[in-house]
Amino acid sequence: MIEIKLNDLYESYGYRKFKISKFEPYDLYADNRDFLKSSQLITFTDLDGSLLALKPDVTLSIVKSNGGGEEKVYYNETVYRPKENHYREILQAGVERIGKIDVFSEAEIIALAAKSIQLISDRFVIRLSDAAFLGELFQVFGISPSTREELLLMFSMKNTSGVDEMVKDGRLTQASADSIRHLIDLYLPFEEGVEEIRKYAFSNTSMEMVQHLSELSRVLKAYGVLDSIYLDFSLVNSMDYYNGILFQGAVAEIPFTILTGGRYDRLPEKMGKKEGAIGFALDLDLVGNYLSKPKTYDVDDLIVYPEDTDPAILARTVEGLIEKGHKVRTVREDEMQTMEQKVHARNVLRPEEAEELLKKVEGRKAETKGGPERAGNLKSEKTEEGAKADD
Amino acid sequence: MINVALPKGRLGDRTYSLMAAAGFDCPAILEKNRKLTFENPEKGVRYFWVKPSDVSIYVERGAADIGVCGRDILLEYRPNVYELLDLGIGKCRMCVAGPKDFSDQMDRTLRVATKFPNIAGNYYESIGRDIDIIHLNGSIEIAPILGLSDVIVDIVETGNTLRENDLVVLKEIIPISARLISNKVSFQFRHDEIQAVRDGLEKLIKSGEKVETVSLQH
Repeated sequence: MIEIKLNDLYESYGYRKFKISKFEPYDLYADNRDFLKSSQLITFTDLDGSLLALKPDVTLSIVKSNGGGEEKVYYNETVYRPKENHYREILQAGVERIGKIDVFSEAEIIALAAKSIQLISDRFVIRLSDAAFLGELFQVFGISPSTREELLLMFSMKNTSGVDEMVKDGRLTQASADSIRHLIDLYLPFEEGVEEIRKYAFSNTSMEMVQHLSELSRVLKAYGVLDSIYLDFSLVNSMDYYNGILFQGAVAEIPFTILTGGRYDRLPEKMGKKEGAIGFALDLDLVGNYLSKPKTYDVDDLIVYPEDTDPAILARTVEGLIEKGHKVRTVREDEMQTMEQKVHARNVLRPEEAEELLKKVEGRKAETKGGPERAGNLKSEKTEEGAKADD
Repeated sequence: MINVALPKGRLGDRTYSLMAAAGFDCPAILEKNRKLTFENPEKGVRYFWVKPSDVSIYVERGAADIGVCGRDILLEYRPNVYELLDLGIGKCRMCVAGPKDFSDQMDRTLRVATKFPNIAGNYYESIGRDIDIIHLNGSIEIAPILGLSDVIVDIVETGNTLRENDLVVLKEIIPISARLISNKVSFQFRHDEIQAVRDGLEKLIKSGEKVETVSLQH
C-alpha cells in the first residue's frame, strides 16, 4: 500500500502524524476563503445550532491548531471538494512544516515531495517556480494589476502568442515582452534554469531571489533529488496562496499533476501567527485510479454445484481448498447465469472436480513437504505454524 | 513516439500539411483504409482524427500529447493545457451578429443565442450588459429570424451565411485562429519531441513558405 510507504518515509524524517476530525466550524473556511481552491463547501448544522463544514482542506486545520511553535507534520486524510460540478471525496497525503522557513527547510520539503512521488513511479518530474520572482519582474516592468492577471494566465498556458497581442495593444513594451516570452518558454533542469534567469534579475531584490534559488539548488543536490527538478514558470497560483517557491509533481503514467505544494506564509500571518509555512499535498485517488493494476482473477476456484450436491462434502472441499491458500467462490448451478457480478476464476469446477483438485493440491504439498517433515520433530512443526500465523 | 490529435475536416487537413512540411510526415495517413491511427515510427509521430471540439479533451486527459484546436474551444472550455503556438490557420472572428436594423434597447435583457455560452457571457459581463443566454448546438442564424433571440454570438468566417439570412456583424469580439496545444504532463516527459514539433512549425510559419493543403479521407 502506497499510504504505508509514504507514512514510513515521513516518519523517517521525524514528521508526526496529524489526525483531525472530518468537520470543522464553517467560520474557519469562511474567514480564509482566499486559501481555498473553491469557496464551495458541504455545510450542515450541528445539533447545538453551530454551522459546520466537511473539511475541504487539511492545511487550514493544521495551521489553526498550531500554537505558534515549530512543527513538522504529515497526514493521510479525505477532503471534500467540488470537481466537475459534483462534490467528491478525495484521499490526500501531505506534509506541512511550520516555523522559521530557511533554505534547509524548503529543500527538505521539496526533497520529501520528490521522494514521495518516486515511491509511485521512477519516471517523475518536480517542477519548481518562484511566484515572488515573477511578481518582482512585473513590478520592475511597471505592469498594472489587471495586465498582471492576464500575463499570469499566459504563463500558465505557455502562451507566447498572447504576449504578442498585448504588445500590439500597447499594454506591454517590446523589451519587457521579450523577457516575458523567454521566461514563458523556459523549461530547464533546475540548476541550469537558475543560471539562465540571472539575465532577468533586473533589481537587487530579484538578484537576491536568484541567489536564494541557487542556494536551494545546492541543498537539493545534497539531498540527491536535484536531477528530477526543473525550473518552470508555468506553475502559477492565481489565488495568491503561495508567496515564494511553489512546485508540482507528475509521473509519466498519469496525465495530470498529482502533487502540489509551496511556501504559504500568508496563511499563518492571516491567522495572527508570526511564522512561515511550507508543505505539499498528494492526490492519492488519482494515483490509485491510474496505477492500481486490474486483477486478472477474482478467485482461484469457482465451484458450480447442482442442487442435489451433498452440502457437507462441498463444505469440506471448500474448507480444504481455502486451507491450501486458494480463494474459493461457490455458486448454485441454476444461479450461474444470474450472478450480479461475473466472477473471473482461474478454474471453474464441478464439486467432484473440486474434490479431485483438493486431493491433487494436498498430495503435492505432502510430497514436497514429505522429506523434512518426516525427518523433523515437533519443534520444526511448531516453527512452521508460527511462521504461517505471522503471514 | 508522440500522439497527435487532429481535428476532422479542413482544419485537420491544413494542420497535417503543415506538420508534414515541418518534417513530421506520415505516409500511412494518405492511404485509403479504415485504420483509426496512423504511425510513422521513423519521425516518432502517431496521428489520429477526432471531432474538432474533442481535441482539447484528448489532450487534457493525455490520450494525445499534442493537438490542434481553435482558440474558440480554448476560450469556451478553458482546458488545462499548454497553448504552445498560434498556427495562423483556420482564421475567423467571434462576432455578435443580428438583423441589419438592430438597435440594442438597454431597458430590457438582451437575448443572445450561441454555441459559446462562456465566451458570450464573459463578453457581455465585461461591458456590463445584462443578457439571457440561449445555448444552442447548431443553426444559430435561425434564432433571430424566428425571434428566439435578439442577437447571436458565433464564429464568422466569410459572412456568407449571415448575408444570405439578412444578418450583419454588429461587433467583432475576438479574432480566432488554430493553436498547437499540449498536455502539461506530456510536455515534461516528452519535452524534446514536443519542442521539436513546436519549433519546426514555428520556423515554417515564420518563413512564410506556402504549404499546399493535402486533402485527406476522414
